[in-house]
Amino acid sequence: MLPSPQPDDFSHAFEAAFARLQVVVEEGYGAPGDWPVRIAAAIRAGFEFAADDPGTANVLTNEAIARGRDGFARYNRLVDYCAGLLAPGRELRAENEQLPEILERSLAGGLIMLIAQRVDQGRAAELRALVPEAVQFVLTPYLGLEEARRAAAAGAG
Amino acid sequence: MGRHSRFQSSEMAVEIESKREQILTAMVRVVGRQGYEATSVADVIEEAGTTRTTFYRNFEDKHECFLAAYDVLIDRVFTRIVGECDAGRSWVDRVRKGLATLLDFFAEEPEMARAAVVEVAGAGAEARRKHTDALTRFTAYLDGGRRLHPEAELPEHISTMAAGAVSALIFDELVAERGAQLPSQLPELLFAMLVPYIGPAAAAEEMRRAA
Repeated sequence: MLPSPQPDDFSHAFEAAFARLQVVVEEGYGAPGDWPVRIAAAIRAGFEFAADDPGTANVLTNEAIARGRDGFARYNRLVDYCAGLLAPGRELRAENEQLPEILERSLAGGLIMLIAQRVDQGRAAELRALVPEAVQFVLTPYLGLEEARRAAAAGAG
Repeated sequence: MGRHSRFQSSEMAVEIESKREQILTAMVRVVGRQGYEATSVADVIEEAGTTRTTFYRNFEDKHECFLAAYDVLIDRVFTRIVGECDAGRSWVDRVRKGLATLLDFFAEEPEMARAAVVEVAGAGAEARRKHTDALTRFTAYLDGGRRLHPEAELPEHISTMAAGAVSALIFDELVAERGAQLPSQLPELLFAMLVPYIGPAAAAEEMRRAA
């Protein structure tokens, strides 16, 4: 079982973990290319971060939602941050194809849940292999089924 | 054993089971109302209208009681969903009906919803494992969606991510104490669940139909 920070240490542990995650994700997101390539690189960075350091990923996910209101609020910031990186995908859809407001939070939630489960089960190393699936999942609402699959398979993943 | 004592014994068994069920229901309600950490055995006993002796005859401690209560709650949710999802319907219709049933249940029983989705996260590793198992039961129902577009080569873990996406949104609403409004969010939640399987245009059409 992964060690749990004491309550007094949790807020510091979360903030330090969140700052480190943002650095690696933004490095990926800053990659040259169109948004699908950049978001794929960001997802890869996030998944590799969790695979390399499951204890820190656990603080950001499972520990956060186990901590009551303070933990929920911090976890919410993580979801908002991820959702913010996804929002530019909307520009790829034709104007008349409506996407619901909650889309980005749902996609972020799906990815975070996959990471949280693998970390909780002691299977964080598997996350590297799941990157192409995660990329396809995230791109589908913006690019459609076929193009998302191709983009994930062709190196956007 | 004579007929009379067998009858008494059977009556006692029913009463014991009934007390156990009352405690399990009380556990879920109290945890949903005040949080797992803040819940004590005394709170549960008071809610159930029973005694400390009866509680400890049935359970080792609060944690064991919560785990048992969680199992019963999830079975109840599944029974209701499966009961509403006629196998004769299309996959999309079954997903819509199943999701609508889940949202209605959570809106009717906000304390149970909060215990099932939010508080379970703070109840330890075994409780989280049960929550993961419950999500896996849901994802098994979603897997039928793979057959709709075999050419799309959907990811192996698509059901986990789709269920995770919806679960995360429900979590948000329950944390914000907006559980009663969940049924009104069916269209958008349906989109989130369907889009990985049928793509954005078809999911948007289903979202409009559900509105």
